[in-house]
Amino acid sequence: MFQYEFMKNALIAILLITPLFGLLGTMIVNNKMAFFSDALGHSAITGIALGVILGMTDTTLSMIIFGILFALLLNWIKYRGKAGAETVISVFASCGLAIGLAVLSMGGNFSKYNSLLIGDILSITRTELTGLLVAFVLTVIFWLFCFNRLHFVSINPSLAQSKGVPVRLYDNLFVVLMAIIVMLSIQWVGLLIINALLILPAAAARNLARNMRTYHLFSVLIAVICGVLGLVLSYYTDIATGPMIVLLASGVFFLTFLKRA
Amino acid sequence: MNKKRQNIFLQRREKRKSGRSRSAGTWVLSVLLAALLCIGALSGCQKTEKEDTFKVVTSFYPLYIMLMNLTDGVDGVEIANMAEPQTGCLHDYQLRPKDLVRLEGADLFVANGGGMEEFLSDVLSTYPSLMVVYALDGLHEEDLLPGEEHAHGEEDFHEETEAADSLGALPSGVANPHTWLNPELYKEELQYISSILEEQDPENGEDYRENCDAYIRKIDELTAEYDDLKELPSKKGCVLLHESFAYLADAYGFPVMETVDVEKDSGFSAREIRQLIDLVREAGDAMIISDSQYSGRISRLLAEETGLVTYQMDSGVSGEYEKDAWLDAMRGNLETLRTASGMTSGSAVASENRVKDPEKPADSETGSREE
Repeated sequence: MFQYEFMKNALIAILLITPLFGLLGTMIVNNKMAFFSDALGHSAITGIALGVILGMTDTTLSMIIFGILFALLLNWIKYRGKAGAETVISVFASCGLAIGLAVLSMGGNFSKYNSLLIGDILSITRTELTGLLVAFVLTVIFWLFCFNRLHFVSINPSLAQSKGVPVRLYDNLFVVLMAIIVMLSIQWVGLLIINALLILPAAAARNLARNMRTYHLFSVLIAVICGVLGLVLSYYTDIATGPMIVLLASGVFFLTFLKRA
Repeated sequence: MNKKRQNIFLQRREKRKSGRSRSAGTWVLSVLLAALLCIGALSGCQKTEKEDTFKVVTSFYPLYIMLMNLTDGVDGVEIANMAEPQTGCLHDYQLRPKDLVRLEGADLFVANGGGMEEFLSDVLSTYPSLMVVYALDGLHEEDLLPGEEHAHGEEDFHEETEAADSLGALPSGVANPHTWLNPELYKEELQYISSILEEQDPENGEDYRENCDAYIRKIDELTAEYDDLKELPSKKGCVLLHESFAYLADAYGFPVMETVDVEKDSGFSAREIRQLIDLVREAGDAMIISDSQYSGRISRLLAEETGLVTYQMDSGVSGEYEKDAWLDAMRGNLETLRTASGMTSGSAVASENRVKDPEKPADSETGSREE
C-alpha cells in the first residue's frame, strides 16, 4: 500500500494534521467554540476569493491573513458581550461564505473550487507538507508554554484576570493559532468536514477522560487512529478519504456516548 | 404616589423606545421598497435596443471565437456569448439571470450540442421561437468519438447515435462533444454554421461566406505547417486526462491508451487513485496530456508515480476574446505534440513570427514536465 508515493505523503499529512486537530479540539470543546471554528472554516472561501481578486497565484497567504483578521473580529464581537454572539458569528460566517461564493462563481464555474469543499489530501506534495510541519511545531511549542494559562482562562476568566493573566491576549492568541491551522489544512481536509474533524475527537475523548491529561491523550489518539484507519479503508474501498475519517470519528463518538450514558 | 409616578415614567420611556424602533423599522422598509422600485424602473429602461440588428448568442467560448471570425466586419449583426470566457468547459455551468436576458433578445442561439449545454435543455423549451443551431449537426455520425459512457464499447455508441433525432440533440455522455479540437471537424462545423447564418440573414450572406473562406484558409495554413506530425513513423501513445483531446489525437493519428476524465473532480478515494496509477503504468511509454484549464494536481501526481512526462494542452475553452484564439491554442497544442514526439520544430520559427501576442502561445507551446 505504501509503495505509492501519494499514500506516503497522505499518511504524513494525516500524522501532522490529526494530532493538531485533536489538541485544538480539546480547547474548542471546552470553550464551547464549535460554532466559532465552523465560521472560521467558512471564511476560508472568502480568503481564497480575495486572493483571486488580488491576482495571487497561491491563495494560501490571503487565506491565512483573512482568517486571522476574521478570527480576531469574531473574538471582538464575543467580548462586546451583547447577547446573541452566536447569531452575529453566524451572520458573519454566512456573509463571508456568500462573498466567497459570489466571487468564485463569477465565471459560472464554481466546480474549479470543488476540491476546497471536499479536500484533496491524496494529492498533497512533499513541499506542501512543510506548511503543515511548521503549523505542527508552532502548535506544540504554543501548547507547551501556554497551555496552563490558556486552561486557566478557559475555566474562569475573571479569576485569571485577577491573578494577572492577560485574558484577552491568550484568547486572541488561541484563535489566531486556530485560524492558521484551519487555513493551512482546509485545502487538504475540505471546508465541509474540517469542523467535524476538530470537534469529534475531542467530544469523544471528553466522554472517556477523567482528567485533563487523559482528555488530551484520548483526543489526540482518537484523531490519529481515525485518520490513519480512514486512509487505509479508503485505499480498499471507493469512499473518499476525508468523509471516511469523519465517519470513523463519528462512530467513535457514538460508542463513547453510549458508554457514558 | 411616588411609585405610581415612577411607573408612569417607565411606561412613557417604553412607549418612546417602541416608537423609535418602529420608526427605524419603517425607515429600513422604505429604503428597501425604494430600492425595489428603482430596480423595477431601471429594468423597464433597458428595453431600448435596436430591433433591426441580427442577434446571435453563442453558448460558450470556442463558438464565440468561431462567430467572431464569421461575422467580422459584417454590419447589423450583434454577437454575444453566454458563459464568461474564463468558464472553461460547460459541463458544470450554473446559469445566471444575465444569460437568460441575452437569450431573450436573440434571433439565433449557437450551441455545441451533444450534451454540452445540458443545463439549458429545460430553459430552451421556454423559448419556442428561438432558433437553436447545434455545431455538431454539421458533422456526420462517423466523425464522432464515443463519450464517457461508451469508453469501452463502441457498438452501443453507434446504435445510440443512429437512434437520436440529430447529433446535436444527443444526451450528455453518449458522444464526445469536444469536436472543435479536430481541425477538420472544426472546419465542417464552421461551414455549417456559416450556411445557417446565410440562410437566416440573407442580406449579409455574401460576407459570411467570404469570412468563412478566409478563416478556413487560415486554418489550412496552420495545419499544413504541422502535416509532418501525421507522417511520423511511430507515434507515442497518450493518456488523456480530459476526453476533449481524443479529437486532437485522432486527427493526428496518436493512439489513445487511456482516457481518464478526472481533472474536474475531487474527492477521490485512495483506491481510485491507485487504480488510476496502475492504469497509466500499464499504458507503458506514453505521454500524459492534461488540460491547462484545470489545476493539474492529478496529472502531477500521476507523473510523479509513473515517471511519465505530463504535457499541458489548451482545449481552447477559455481565454481572451480574440479572433485568433482557436488558431493560437491549436498551434500551441501541435507544437507540444511535436516536442513530445522528440521532433525539432522546423517551422516553429516561421510560426512564431505570425503570432501576435508573444506571451500567449509561450505557455502553451512548451510541453513542460510538471514538478
